[in-house]
Amino acid sequence: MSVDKFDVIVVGGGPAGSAAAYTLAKAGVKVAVVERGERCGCKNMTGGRLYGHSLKRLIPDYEQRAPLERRITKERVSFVTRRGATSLEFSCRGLGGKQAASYSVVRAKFDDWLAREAEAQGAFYINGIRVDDLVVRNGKVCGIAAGEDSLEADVVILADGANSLLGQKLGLVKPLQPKEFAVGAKEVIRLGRGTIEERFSLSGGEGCAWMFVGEPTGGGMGGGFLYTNEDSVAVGIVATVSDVGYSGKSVAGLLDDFVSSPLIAPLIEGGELCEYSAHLVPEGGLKMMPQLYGHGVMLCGDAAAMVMNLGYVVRGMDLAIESGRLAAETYIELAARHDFRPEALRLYRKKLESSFVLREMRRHRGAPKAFASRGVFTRLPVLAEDVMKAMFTVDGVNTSGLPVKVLAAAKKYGFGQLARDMLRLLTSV
Amino acid sequence: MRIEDKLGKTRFKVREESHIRLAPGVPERRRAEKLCLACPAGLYSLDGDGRLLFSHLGCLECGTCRLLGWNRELEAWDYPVCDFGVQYRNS
Ligand SMILES: Cc1cc2nc3c(=O)[nH]c(=O)nc-3n(C[C@H](O)[C@H](O)[C@H](O)COP(=O)(O)OP(=O)(O)OC[C@H]3O[C@@H](n4cnc5c(N)ncnc54)[C@H](O)[C@@H]3O)c2cc1C
Ligand code: SF4
Repeated sequence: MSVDKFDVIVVGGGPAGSAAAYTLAKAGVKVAVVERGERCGCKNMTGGRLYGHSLKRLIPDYEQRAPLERRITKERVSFVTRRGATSLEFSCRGLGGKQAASYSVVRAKFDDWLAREAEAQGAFYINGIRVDDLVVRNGKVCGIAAGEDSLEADVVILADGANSLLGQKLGLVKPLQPKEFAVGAKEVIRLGRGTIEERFSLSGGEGCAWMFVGEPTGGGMGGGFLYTNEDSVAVGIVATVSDVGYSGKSVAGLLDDFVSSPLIAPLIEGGELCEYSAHLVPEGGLKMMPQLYGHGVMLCGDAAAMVMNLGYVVRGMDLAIESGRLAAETYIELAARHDFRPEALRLYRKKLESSFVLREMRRHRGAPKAFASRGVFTRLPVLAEDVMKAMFTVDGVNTSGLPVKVLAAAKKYGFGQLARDMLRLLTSV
Repeated sequence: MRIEDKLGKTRFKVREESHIRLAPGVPERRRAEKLCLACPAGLYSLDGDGRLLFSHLGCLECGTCRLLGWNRELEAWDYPVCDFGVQYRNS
């Protein structure tokens, strides 16, 4: 690295970092992105689905330019027990309309593309370098250090992801707590385009997103997911780290059982595993959100715990992109005054407050607690199964009406517990 | 499919030196078992004397073990230097 001075250094070339770099470079700001991966995206994985609204604000014609896998038009949610599943399916051609479409993505392709878009605006990417430390002088973050080298800037934007070692070193991010994180593991299985469309009843270019509650995590907190890519299927689980071991099974074992379960196995039959990956997800919501700025520094995306998991919707990439853009705008507004003290950078928080990022995180702040209730993962799938069994079993013996059968199922769950779980779920999600 | 075979499908740029170092001594049993279950690459195991065994080859750099064991079972955890380590192409 040379001793050039940049206006802004961004650590991390994921969606948050590249959205910041894109916005800054477009406004003529001298910005460098330092990313440890040889190419942006090669260190990253996700479940699979990008809600496109915030990217659209950044790059209005992204749908014509970005490497998107499939447009999601089919949603499935399944409550899974050992014996089977109760599922809800919703399909809608053109779901999300023109402004709010969502797409499955593969991060190695997507992140690399976004980095190149930022580069085309004038951002400077330094790949294959792990940032070891921040340069701090008189309490102000002045740059970054990697090995023997250092690089200075007015402001550093930390977009270094869920396990933000730099945010922790700086003291902005508190030591990570196992109950606030989930570990996600997934398999990508190549099946071919036609087979996917056949097995999931999809038309060309359309895709399916599928969430699973219950058995995929052995009743432990978390869930399973499946996304269809263009010619592959991503199947994975996320398990709350503090709850690992609840079922006695390992994370790798749970995923293995899930992909070989009767629910999934026939769908991926004959496919070829092409990658196995894992990553942390910050799931503590608003409560775990760190201080978002300091003297000369702002935190974006996963580093700032900007993830929302509502069970049927998992979002992090759209929040990452929006927060990156807003951090960049904050810098652009403050640059003329050259004031990057915390009092000035508070503007970043204000921008987040009036954006969907903090508004929605606030609205759903109860979700982490609702999902910390065991009943959702153990009893709810069984309740759904009992109700469905009551509806669809005809034996000439049990002659009571459906309401009685439903009540019996609810009693098994526990009326009080059921009411509490439902209330928490409904008010938070 | 065994986890070793699954990891064989993922590409790595291997560095001999580990970016994760175990603390010496015998860990608390329950905590050690949790590390073994949680690592999605299955890189932790326990030997007959209740000591942790670990190999960094196949590490997906997820940080789960750091979250569980930093400053106790683990005495060092960092991302691999430069661009070493996992190289995803399809995730
Ligand atoms: C299993 C799973 C499923 C998910 N499903 C979804 C989903 O369906 N939809 C959705 O919207 N979100 C989903 N998410 C969340 C989403 O993936 C994240 O919110 C998003 O990737 C955050 O982007 P980011 O730019 O903040 O961080 P990241 O994408 O993690 O980027 C951080 C970057 O910083 C780099 N870096 C880190 N430390 C250093 C350092 N010291 N020096 C240099 N570079 C460094 C990394 O290499 C990386 O490129 C999921 C996450 C997981 C794990
Ligand atoms: S970082 Fe993740 S994959 Fe690597 S050893 Fe720790 S838990 Fe296992």
